[in-house]
Amino acid sequence: MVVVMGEISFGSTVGMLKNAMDGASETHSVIANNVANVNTPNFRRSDVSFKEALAATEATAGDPNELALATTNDRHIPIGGAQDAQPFEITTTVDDSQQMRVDGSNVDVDQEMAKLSLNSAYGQTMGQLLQNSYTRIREAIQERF
Amino acid sequence: MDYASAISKVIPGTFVPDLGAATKTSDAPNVGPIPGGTGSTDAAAGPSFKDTVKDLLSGVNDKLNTSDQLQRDLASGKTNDLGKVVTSVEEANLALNYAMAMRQKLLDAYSEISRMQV
Amino acid sequence: MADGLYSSIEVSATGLSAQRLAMDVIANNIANVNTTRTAEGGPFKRQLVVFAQKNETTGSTSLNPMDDSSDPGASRAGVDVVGIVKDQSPDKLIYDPSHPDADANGYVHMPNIEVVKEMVDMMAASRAYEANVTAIQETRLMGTSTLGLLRA
Repeated sequence: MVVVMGEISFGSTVGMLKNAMDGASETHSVIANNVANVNTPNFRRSDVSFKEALAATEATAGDPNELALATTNDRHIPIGGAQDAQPFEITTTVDDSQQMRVDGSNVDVDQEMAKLSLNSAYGQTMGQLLQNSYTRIREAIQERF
Repeated sequence: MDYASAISKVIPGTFVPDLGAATKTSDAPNVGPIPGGTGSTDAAAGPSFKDTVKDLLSGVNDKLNTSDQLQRDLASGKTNDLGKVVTSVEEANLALNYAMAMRQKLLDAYSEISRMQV
Repeated sequence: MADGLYSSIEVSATGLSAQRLAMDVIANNIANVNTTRTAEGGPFKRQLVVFAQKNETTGSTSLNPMDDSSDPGASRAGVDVVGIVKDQSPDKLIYDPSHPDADANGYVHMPNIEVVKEMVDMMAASRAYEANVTAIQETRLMGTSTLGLLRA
């Protein structure tokens, strides 16, 4: 925790855990919507991805043994080398694959329920770690340990 | 320098639990004169009190940084070892608590000494 | 193993899907136990599901259980349904000359389905489904109890 000119910043770990919980909550909504539409004719299920974006919020130093591609133009693709921190974004994509089902919906209810369970476990883990961070900060502030 | 020998140097004879320090300079508490206060320039007198405290705090800092990095890796999916992350978090918590407890002991010792009539 | 935290949940999910499909096939067999006419002619033939181990590193399904056993890095990603095949055992012949589908000798070709066997298969599929559900719950329980270390 850092206090500068009256602004309190809780550090990158707490920020990342909060973003992870946002991602998990969005995933939950999308999967619940998939499950609700398991019998809707011609429904296409959606997926949420946020873990790569979460990893990208950390600026990486780059491998010193690796040669990075030189980028002299904005449109050059940076490969290797140091990466700047990117703002966190949650992306939702539609799964267009075809399913051999009479009603045309491509939702497999077992897969969706398993994804829901997995996402819920992940969200709980992040919540627990976040709670621990806050408790530690509070202990340090109150000098009660 | 681990916590055990650090606190033993300040308050001789104190028993402290081993928090799994990677390197231990000695197991037996050092019941000698308080280092750094005698004014001796003898290198064999051991590390100064200031160095002891600095090593302790950097040890705690390392544990906190390791734990933070592991938590970020878990969130972003770079590691899947929940056990390692949880144990690193708990060890960082304990290390911080330990450092705070020792800070309290040092403050108490200081105020007790300053109250002494000379 | 499949990538990700609690990845074994995805593995169990493949088991759930596979057992559900097996249930559908078995239910279809039972419903057609007396079907003497089908689109391709002849009586209904019993169908059964072929499962194979899903191997994540190659993305292919392996029918050989000894495959990749020498490669410790090969990942196990659950079960995959390779196909629904027809049971080629002979039809049941019932003597009933009055049946519209009786052949020249008065025998009717009936489907090669034993209802009792299908019921047993159905119970097996149902138990396997429940076992996969339990596996998912246990995986979550392991994570929760690990996090319990931070609670106190």
